[in-house]
Amino acid sequence: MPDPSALPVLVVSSLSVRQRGGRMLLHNVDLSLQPGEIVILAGPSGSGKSTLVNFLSGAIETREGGWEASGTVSFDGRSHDLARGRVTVGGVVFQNFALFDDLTVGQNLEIASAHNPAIGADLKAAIDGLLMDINRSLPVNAASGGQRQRIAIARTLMGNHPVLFLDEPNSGLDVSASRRLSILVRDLARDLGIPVIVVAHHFRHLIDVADRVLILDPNLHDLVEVPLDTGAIEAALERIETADPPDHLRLETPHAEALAAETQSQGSEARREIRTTPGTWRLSWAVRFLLGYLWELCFAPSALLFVGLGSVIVGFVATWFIFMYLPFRDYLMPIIHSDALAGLAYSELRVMAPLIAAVLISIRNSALIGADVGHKVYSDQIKSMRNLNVPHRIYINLMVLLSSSVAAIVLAAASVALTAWVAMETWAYIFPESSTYMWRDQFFQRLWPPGQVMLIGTDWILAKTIPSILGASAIALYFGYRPKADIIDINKGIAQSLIWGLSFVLTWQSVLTLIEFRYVSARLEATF
Amino acid sequence: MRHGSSSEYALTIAIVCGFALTGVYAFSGSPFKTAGQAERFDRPTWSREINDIRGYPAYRLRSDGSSLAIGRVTGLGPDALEVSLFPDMTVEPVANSRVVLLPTNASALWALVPTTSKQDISTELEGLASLTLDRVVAIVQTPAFNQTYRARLQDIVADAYADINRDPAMSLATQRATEILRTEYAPRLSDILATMVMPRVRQAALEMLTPSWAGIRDFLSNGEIDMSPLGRAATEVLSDETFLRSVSNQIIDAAADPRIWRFGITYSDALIQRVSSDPRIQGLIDDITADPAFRSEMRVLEQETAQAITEIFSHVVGRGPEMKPDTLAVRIIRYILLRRPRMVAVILPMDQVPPSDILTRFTPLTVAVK
Repeated sequence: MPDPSALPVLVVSSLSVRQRGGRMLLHNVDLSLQPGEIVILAGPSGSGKSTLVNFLSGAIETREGGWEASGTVSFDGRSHDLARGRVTVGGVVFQNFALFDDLTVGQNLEIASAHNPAIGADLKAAIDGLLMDINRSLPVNAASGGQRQRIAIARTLMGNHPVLFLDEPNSGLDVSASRRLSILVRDLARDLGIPVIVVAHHFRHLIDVADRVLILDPNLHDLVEVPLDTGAIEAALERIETADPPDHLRLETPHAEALAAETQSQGSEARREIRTTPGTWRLSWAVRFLLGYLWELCFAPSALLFVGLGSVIVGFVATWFIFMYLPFRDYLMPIIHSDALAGLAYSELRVMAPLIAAVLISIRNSALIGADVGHKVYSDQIKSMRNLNVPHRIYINLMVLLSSSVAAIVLAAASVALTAWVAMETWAYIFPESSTYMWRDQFFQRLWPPGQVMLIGTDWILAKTIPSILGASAIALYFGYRPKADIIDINKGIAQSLIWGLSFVLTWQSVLTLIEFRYVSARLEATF
Repeated sequence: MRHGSSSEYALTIAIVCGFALTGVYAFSGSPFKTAGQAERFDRPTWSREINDIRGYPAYRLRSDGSSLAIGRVTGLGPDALEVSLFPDMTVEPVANSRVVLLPTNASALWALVPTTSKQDISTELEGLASLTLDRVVAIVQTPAFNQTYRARLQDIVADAYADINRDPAMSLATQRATEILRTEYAPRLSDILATMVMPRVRQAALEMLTPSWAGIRDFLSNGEIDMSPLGRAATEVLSDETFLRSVSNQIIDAAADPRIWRFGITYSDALIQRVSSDPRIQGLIDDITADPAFRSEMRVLEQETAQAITEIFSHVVGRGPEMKPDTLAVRIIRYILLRRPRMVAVILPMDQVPPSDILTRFTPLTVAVK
């Protein structure tokens, strides 16, 4: 039990949160937390408990979430204006744990550790205790539900925040597991001296270890403290839901403003602190994310085979159609053969191969990016990254776009190479007596004359491919980041990514190809 | 973000290598094939103005005259060029072949036409000339032409003739040619007539003058003389090959005389130029071609001329039993039409009889001294 007379470790003063142009969530709320204090935060569904936690944990930002906020938060003798932007007061253990399921247990901890101040020995011991029976080299998906919860708590502790938020931690747990969790939370708070706010609907087993209960009253837009009694809490909640605030149950809370400047100083060597700026990116993690996305978006066998199949179709169909289904083929072929090959090279290598590569890559990658980011949003991994100070815009957005650019170059080049080869083999099948070196002379006569290092028009190929694939990826990121309430939203996001991404690719390619035709027509007329 | 398994990585490496290999094959050819055989030749003077960094194709001719690209010609500066064969072609070595470099002009096109096709073209041309003459004669002989156009045409030609004669230079040329004929060729013709015609004429005159009762009666009663001996003599003279050969030799000699030949060309040119520049001639042609009286003749002329030209063109570019257009012939025509000077090489194995005998008249390239 914390000492009530001790100075609070953290004070929130006059906190007001409202949706821009919409409903009020909190109005002039004050909150102070003692070291090692466990506070249950209850409230009706939709009252904004999770939003409050997300806001104080930096998981949502005023500028991008459509929220307006004001007030100050004081910690370690310093105050921060909440209206100025993102403030990360506490670490959150999300209801669904929000573990990074691409990483192993150990990597989940490493990424939190790499982007936050070093933890002290006491915290490290606590984390080791939590993960004593868990193999850290295994993927997090291999862990059981209880283990995943402990991993999530450990990872949040790695964040070294002043406050620990637990969002619905006992949801779905049986009685014994819920009791074990309560004891775990109590031991952590007591041993580490960190205040813990537990957002809970099912508070029966948490009551035993809690120091206070606060109810978020959506009618008063305020935090109301109620006695530490199950019946009283339930009655208060019932009254709130019937829009009749139970004044007789309400406890007076000291006004936090008076305490704002008198928060307890943190004396430990590994200092916890409130973060107001986005996390700094780490090269090793940037490279790790880049390699992951490069693999997924560019070098995975499915990506290469996908583009390869498209290129085979382009190379074969275009060549076969031109040389086998030409009217009066036997008579016209000797006349147009050389020019037909040169024209075929132009249409296949400068138009169709880049187009098919861009279309196929954008379809595949839009679906992957939409699914990946949509899942991360839906499973709170993005919020978790923000909370853990992991710069997801660099690790996800930038690396996705970088990987998409590399994919555009690599796969377009692969498509051009394979299309040319299939065209050559198809031609050799049609004209078995002729030399493929003659094919090469005539096929490349205008596109790759001797002395030319690159194909003429490589700049056009890149100008068509890179922006179209980048654009499709950016569109997929946009739809992936939109709020996801359920799986259907993820699927919708994927579908929208595909539709809009593909539309963008086709539009971009069409416009650029028309401009390209305009630029090259005079040159082609001079050489054909 | 997902990483692959080791088998996926191995598959990716295999696929990327496959892509790279296809690119190498497509863009540069098989890396496992050695470069094709090549030979350096002295560059003909006429070809020094023709430069294309992409080079020019080199062909082998099949026995039917059709061509197959087997290599390329690349310039190595003003004095040398290289003929290299494609590595995937199995043909006679360049060193054992006659390599002929042809400019892309009409003479090269004609040189490549197989001898058998040239004979067909000659037949077609004769037929076309005969056909044209028949139709023109048919038109000229119609009453409609005599009534409506002959006088107009005669006026135009007569005016042109008079115009030429008024030209002092042409008049002088005519006098000179006449003088040459009179002084140099007329005596020879006189000799022929004296030695080959006169004996027969004398014999015929004797026969005519030999008295016969029937002849005297006809002469006295009807005033007629039997001229048949003279007719027989003329027939005998005209059927005498020696006489005809002698006369035709004289005519050919006169025609082959450069002075007469040049005069003939100059006079013909002047006449054609004056007739064609006469403003009345276009109207006359328009009227003749539009005249319903000649419609059937004109239609036949058009159809048969078009047919003959198609056949001639087909023989110029066609090869083989089906007369399919030949790549090389078409290539030359294309550059003629585009007015772009290019060249091509024809590689003929020493032991192969060229499908066109004209090709043997071209000087083969000489191997450059190394």
